[in-house]
Amino acid sequence: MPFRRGFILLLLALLWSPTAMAEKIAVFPIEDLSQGPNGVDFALTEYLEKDLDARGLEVASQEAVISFMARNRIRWLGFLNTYHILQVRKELGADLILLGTVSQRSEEPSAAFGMVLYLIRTDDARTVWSQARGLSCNDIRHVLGIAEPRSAEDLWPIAVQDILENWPKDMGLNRDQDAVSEIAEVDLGRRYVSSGKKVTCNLRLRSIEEGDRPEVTLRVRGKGHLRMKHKGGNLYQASWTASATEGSYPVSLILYRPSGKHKVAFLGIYHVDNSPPVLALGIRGLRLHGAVAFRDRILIIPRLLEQEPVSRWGFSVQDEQGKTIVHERREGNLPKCFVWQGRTDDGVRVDDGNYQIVIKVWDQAQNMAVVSERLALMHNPPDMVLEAKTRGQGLVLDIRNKGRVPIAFWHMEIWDDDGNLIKTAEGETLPAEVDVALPESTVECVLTAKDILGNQFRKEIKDLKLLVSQENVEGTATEEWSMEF
Amino acid sequence: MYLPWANSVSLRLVLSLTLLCLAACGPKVPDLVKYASLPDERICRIAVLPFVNETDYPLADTIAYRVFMAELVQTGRFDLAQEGDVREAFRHMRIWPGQQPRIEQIKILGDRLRVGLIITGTVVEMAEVPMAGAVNPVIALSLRIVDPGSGETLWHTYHRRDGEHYRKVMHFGILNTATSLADQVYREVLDLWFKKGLKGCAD
Repeated sequence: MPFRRGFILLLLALLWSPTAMAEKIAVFPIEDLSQGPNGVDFALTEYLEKDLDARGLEVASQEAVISFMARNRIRWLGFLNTYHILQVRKELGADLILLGTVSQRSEEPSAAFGMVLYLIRTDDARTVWSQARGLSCNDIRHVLGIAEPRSAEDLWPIAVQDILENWPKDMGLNRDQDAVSEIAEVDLGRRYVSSGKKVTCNLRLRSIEEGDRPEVTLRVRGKGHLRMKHKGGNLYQASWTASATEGSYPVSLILYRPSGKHKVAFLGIYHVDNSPPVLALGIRGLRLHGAVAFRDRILIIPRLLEQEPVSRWGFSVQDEQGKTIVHERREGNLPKCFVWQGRTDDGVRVDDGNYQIVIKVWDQAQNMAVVSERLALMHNPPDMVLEAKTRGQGLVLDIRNKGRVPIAFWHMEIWDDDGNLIKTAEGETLPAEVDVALPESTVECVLTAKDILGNQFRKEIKDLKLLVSQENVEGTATEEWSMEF
Repeated sequence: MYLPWANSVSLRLVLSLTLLCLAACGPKVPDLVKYASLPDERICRIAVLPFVNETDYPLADTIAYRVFMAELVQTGRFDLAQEGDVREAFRHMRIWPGQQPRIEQIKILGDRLRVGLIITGTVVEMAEVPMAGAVNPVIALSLRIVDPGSGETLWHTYHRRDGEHYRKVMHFGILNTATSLADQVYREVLDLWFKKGLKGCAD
């Protein structure tokens, strides 16, 4: 019977064919780290394919492998994930995958080559064999130096053969396959929420066979089981309101298969947080009359008394009328310090006076904390008063500070018209009196002072007698002074 | 026939060789610190997280990682989570390259990858020092075995070697490439771990 003869011939042909029962292997392009991240060595890949073919394995064509990579958007070399490994089995029919990495390749001072190969079984996505080999020309020395390798090009075939000598005999193929359901993407939204806010979980599963679509459920602490809505394709979504109680809330995924099997996977944790951050300010300055006084700049150090992630912050300065003159807000962590140089947002220097700084901080759950502090900007020089009175044959100079800022020190010099220093006086407190003999000729008086904020005062009186004749003449601060010595 | 000079030369040669061997046989055991006990049960499935590169050597983290994975597979004692799965979990959890996951993230990784142990690694030093027409590779590694249940480090190992360390006689024994040195270093680390009580599926 021709039909029976044909069937027997076909069976014999299958039995005789060396590749009919051969394991199929997909050799992925070999990654070459010596060329930088994602470098590739096609020559080495082709060499491996030919060698494995010669060993009786059925090798998937390089075009098929490259096409698979393009189809599955695999943009890296040297590794695969479980889903792609299973897809290789499904799309390319391969039992095995060979991945490899050239770990080093150099020519100077002595040529060297290193590589690693991995063999992955596709039915359970398990790496079943691996070898690493490093070779240098110094490792291979022949008698009289004949046929010694001299470059990396000479070395890599030797390294590959060394590795393939240990090719495994049994790779345990054709065992029971444990189907793995893979999560492609999961997004639990914000990790920190306040009570009553909406929490949304978006999930994308790997491709699902028709008829094997699972029922997708979330298990959330305090909420029980929530069935996820199918949003088309492999997308699922579930939303719920955050509990009233603060704490950590784990979320797990349960996939119920039509077969009755189910699988649980832990997705993550979100935190319910209703407490605002506890914020304190450290300000380096002198406290005067209930405000922190400063002359040209002030350093403000915000400090979270209980460490927690900050989502955003705001910094503002208000004048005495409550008008905001500086305002800045940013996303992310608080800076280590703020420095205010007594200027508006436009860079205009503001007048002496009281100001209010306000710092607002929001945690990840958008709970807000506010701290503020009163500042006193004082960059005018000390407001000094110098009066002279006659007392017997001499003069008494009365020095006083009319300003709000205490004096750090004062210094007075009296010079005759020949340029001789006839009197000096100094001190750290005011008011003070200085006795001077009534001069016969013209004498000059120079008074300098500095307040505790660093503002400086300097006044020159060309003739002290004029001061006497006027009696109680005040030295005005605006005539001669300088901010710096 | 009695040849006193010959005996003396032979004796010196033997002594020299013995000294050379002794010099090459320095302490080879990596430093192991046990912070807590490993789980009593045998561990079948483990994950190795991408290594951190603290060196100037380009891609030292990837090289060291791949060689370590190869050495672990060769032991035949574990089912290793695929590098692609680990990197995908990192991406989902927004852990960027060069970052080590936090304790909370370690727990999630352990669950997602379904592993009994997690290994993390840092390449502290990797260099190829030129010397007389050759290079002397140097590697220093810090490896941690982490419990994915608690996120805590159970064991910590530091190991540093250079290729010259393995010199036996003349140039024999020297390891001339970073790859072969890394392979050797990992073999020593894993030998020590197994000796100290790490149990795989096949044990």
